[in-house]
Amino acid sequence: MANKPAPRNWNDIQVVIATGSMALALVLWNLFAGPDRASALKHAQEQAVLSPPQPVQEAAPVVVEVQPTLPTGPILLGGNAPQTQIIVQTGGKGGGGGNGGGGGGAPVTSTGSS
Amino acid sequence: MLHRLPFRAMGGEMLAILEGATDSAPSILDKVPDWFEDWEQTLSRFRIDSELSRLNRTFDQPVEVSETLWDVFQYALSAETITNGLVTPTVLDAMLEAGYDQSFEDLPRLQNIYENQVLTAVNPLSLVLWDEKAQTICLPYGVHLDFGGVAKGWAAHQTVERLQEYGSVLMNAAGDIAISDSLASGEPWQIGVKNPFVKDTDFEILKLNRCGVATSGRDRRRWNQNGLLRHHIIDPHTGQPADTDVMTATVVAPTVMEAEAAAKAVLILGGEEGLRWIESDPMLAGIIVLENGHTFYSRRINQYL
Repeated sequence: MANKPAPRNWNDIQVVIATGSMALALVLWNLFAGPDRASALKHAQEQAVLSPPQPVQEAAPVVVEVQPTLPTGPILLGGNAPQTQIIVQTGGKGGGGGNGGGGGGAPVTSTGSS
Repeated sequence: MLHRLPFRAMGGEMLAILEGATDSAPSILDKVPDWFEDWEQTLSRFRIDSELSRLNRTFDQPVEVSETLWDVFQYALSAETITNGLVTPTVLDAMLEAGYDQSFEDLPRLQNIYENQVLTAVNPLSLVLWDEKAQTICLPYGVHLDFGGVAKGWAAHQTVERLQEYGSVLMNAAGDIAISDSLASGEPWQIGVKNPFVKDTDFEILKLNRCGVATSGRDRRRWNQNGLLRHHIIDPHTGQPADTDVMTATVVAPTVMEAEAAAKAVLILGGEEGLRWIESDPMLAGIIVLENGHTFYSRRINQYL
């Protein structure tokens, strides 16, 4: 006579319930979150294409000196630490003046990235 | 009297300025565009019949090259050395991978490619074999050259070398500027530094003599690939367009070739590291504009302001 199968204990039932819950959560996630993510990605790509970075609005030249955040670490080749100047630039200076003077006529040409 | 000759070459705007004693420009000035045409025909990767393109189609065989290509190759070697490998002409394949596969004027600003992106470091130039005596270059399989900015800087430098016997001269090759002695009045040349955020505006003026100045930036020559904004400055460590906080880097150096290489290196290094690097070399001075609008001035730039 075959042995009578052992009765399921409470641990088995817990495992079955947990597995079922996880499977249900995954199904629902894919059902609702999936399409949203695809459309969000598409939307983000469209935005990236349609809205290339715009130059900042030209404003009256305002130059504000702020406390420099000097690089830390060893100073290469000795000498004084770099006297960094950080300028917050909110508009073009329009070809004159500059940091510490430098006027005296318009430049003959300009350097910029090509 | 300053005689100006603007023209287009190498995919950018060129400007030759020669100071002459008379009202009429020396006829030598008219020859400059022809020189650039010859150099472009030798050095351009966008012309399939250029000498460089022919060289790039070979591998594992020594190819004898012209004086021009040899000279630029030697400067490319120097650029790689002084920038600790950050600026190398072997980035061509990475540049193509990033989508920069034709002249920027013809480049689609919106690209969708479906191959998987392969992240690979760029081969160092030391893999290329060359023979100084025979003037030959031997490219290993899979290594191709693009002289890019080095070629422009070299061309500007050559132009000044050829014209300076006729008077003070300045050659602006799409932002890479070579300058001879001061003007006859003793005044220095005044060079504007373009504001990357406001079109056609200078935010600084440099006063320069007998040196080179160049700007490298990602405010121009950029495109969209699969939703990612790409630009043309490749970081050889990643093989990808440099991930940097620098918008533009302007460097003054003894020659325009050094200035061009240094500006590119600063852009790849990033703002703080780039400034430290400029300060560590007594021959360099620079202005670094970050994408957040902050501007770093190196210590030695003050002598040019």
